[in-house]
Amino acid sequence: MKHIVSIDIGSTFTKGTLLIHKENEVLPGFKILSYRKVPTTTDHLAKGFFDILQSFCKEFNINQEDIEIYYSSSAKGGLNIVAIGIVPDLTLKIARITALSAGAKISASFSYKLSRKAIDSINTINPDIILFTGGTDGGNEEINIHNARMLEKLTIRPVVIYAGNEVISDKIQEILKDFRVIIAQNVLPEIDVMNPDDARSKIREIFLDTIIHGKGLDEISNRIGFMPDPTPFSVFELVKSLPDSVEQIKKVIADVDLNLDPGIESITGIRSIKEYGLKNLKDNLSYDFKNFCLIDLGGATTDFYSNHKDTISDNNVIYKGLPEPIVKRTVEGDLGMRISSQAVVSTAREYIEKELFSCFKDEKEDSILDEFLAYIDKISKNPGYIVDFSGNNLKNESKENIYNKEVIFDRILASACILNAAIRHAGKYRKVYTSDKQMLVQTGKNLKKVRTIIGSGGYLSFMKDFTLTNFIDFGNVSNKNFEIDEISLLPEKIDYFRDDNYLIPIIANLSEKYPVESALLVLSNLIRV
Amino acid sequence: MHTIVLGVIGSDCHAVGNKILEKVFSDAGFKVVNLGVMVSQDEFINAAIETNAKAILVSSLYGQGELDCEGLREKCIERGLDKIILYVGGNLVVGKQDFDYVEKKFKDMGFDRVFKPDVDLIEVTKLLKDDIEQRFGNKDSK
Repeated sequence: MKHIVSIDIGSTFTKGTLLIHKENEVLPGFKILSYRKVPTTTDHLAKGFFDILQSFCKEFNINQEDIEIYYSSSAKGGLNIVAIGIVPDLTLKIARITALSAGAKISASFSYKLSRKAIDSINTINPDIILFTGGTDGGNEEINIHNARMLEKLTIRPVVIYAGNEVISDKIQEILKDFRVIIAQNVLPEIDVMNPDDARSKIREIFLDTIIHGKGLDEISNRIGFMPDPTPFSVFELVKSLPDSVEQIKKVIADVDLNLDPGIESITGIRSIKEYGLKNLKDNLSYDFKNFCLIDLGGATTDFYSNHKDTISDNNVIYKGLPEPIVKRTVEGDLGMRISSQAVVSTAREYIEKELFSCFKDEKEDSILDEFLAYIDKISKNPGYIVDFSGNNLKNESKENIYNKEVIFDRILASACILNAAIRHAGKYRKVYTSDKQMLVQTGKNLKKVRTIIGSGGYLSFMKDFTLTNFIDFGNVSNKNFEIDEISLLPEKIDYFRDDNYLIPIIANLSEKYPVESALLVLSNLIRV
Repeated sequence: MHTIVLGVIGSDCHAVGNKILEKVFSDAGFKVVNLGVMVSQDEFINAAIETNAKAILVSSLYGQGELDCEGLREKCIERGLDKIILYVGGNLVVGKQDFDYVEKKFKDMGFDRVFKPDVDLIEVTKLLKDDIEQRFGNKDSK
């Protein structure tokens, strides 16, 4: 039995949990002993971290040296990348997928030849890393060489990861001799072969050995001896490992009568077994966790992850474009519950109005819209604003209650974020008439058969009655319109789960080393809505 | 080794000839980027830019090639592929039209060579090698 602490340093809160790891004859597992959340001190990230760590040590009378520690950080802008490629649909697209899968935030991306203006804006953005791609191996050289010469004019010196046409990598390094240039394998070695993994691990290495120093995270790493991962990197690892781990758990659990096993607590690592844990685990194991999506809806961004191998069996469907990775992350900077809420309104105005008017049938359209916009104004200026998420306090209050309205406003905002993030993450069908029959051209990832969706992030984790019925409605509407339009390949039937208490980022830190235990904890903590 | 981009243009899903072309041109020593069937003009050009291709070989079997191919040369020029060689072949128009007329029509569109369905493919590989050397010189032939 050993003590483990996992801490996630977010931009608003630093959250940590103390667990014990138990070897068990059936399955090893975690048990959560304690959970703590403190505000993040942006100019001193180490403070929240050590506050939490020390409080655990004190509470349970353990030495810091005896604890295994894992941590991640998305504070101070996380990992900030500028992506460069040649063709937007080819190398630039993979460059973006690569950066996002490494947990980065893409502050800008550029295709074809870099202009003077592009260089100015990179100077202003001042990214941690420039991910420089372009060309298949043996392919285009001219544009990359031009781009290298332009990058040389930068006044800043970010790390450059070159993951383009490998034939000219020496030349690129020579032109950018004043930069730290890391050569990674080409993200697109052949026109239909995606290779993001090497560049992804190079990005992680750079994050660990360089960037964290600028964020004040080195104070932590100096004291405890190792580095944090970017939070989305950890979550990506969890999303990647969950299907295999769940299979393993299913195999073992099938032979055990959970009701009779007195050691169940150590199997499941359930913190509040009386409430729901065991029943949850058993229920949840009957759902599909081989194919699933995870939404992390935050104040500034919406992260959408999927783990699904899309195979096309229909002869009438032709796939176009680059093959989609099985595990994929997309991040939407204009979709978020607070900081980005103004942007949500401009992105999804039509949808928001439709929802508003149908939720408030008794009110004048203009006045409810004004109220909604005033609310958006308020929350975008005050990102810490929290409506009473529980909704529990509403029962005895009148319908006109301000909180009641704000609860609905938030729900509409969240639906708009999720729907748009899903549409951008998922692929599309487009009808095409050929000389002998009608065909469907598919671009992107088909999520129609994915049923399981996990909702995480402050809002989704705590909003007990939030569901994703919107998806299905939207799917129906767009199917009707399909006579004239294209359709998004969104999930058709949904089993929606809520990451109760927002544990996923913290569990995610543990998933690389303890995949099965982490999966057990995730599953027993998910609540089907 | 010269890279060439191959595909069947437009809403045309005839796949067999496309596979044969891939085999013949690979055997003749080209690096073939085969985009398969139902390929749009932009897909041809995107692939050619990334792979630094010397030629785009467009097939069309279903009779609507004329519409599909219109503007391809101009688009190549717009997007920086001002030297690329364009070949087209197949059943390029519906009905029986004089081949000389069809050839002229496609050459006017900017294609360097136009082929009948029954052309000897080995001949085409030789023509392509010569055309590439003439246009790009030997120094580019990696």
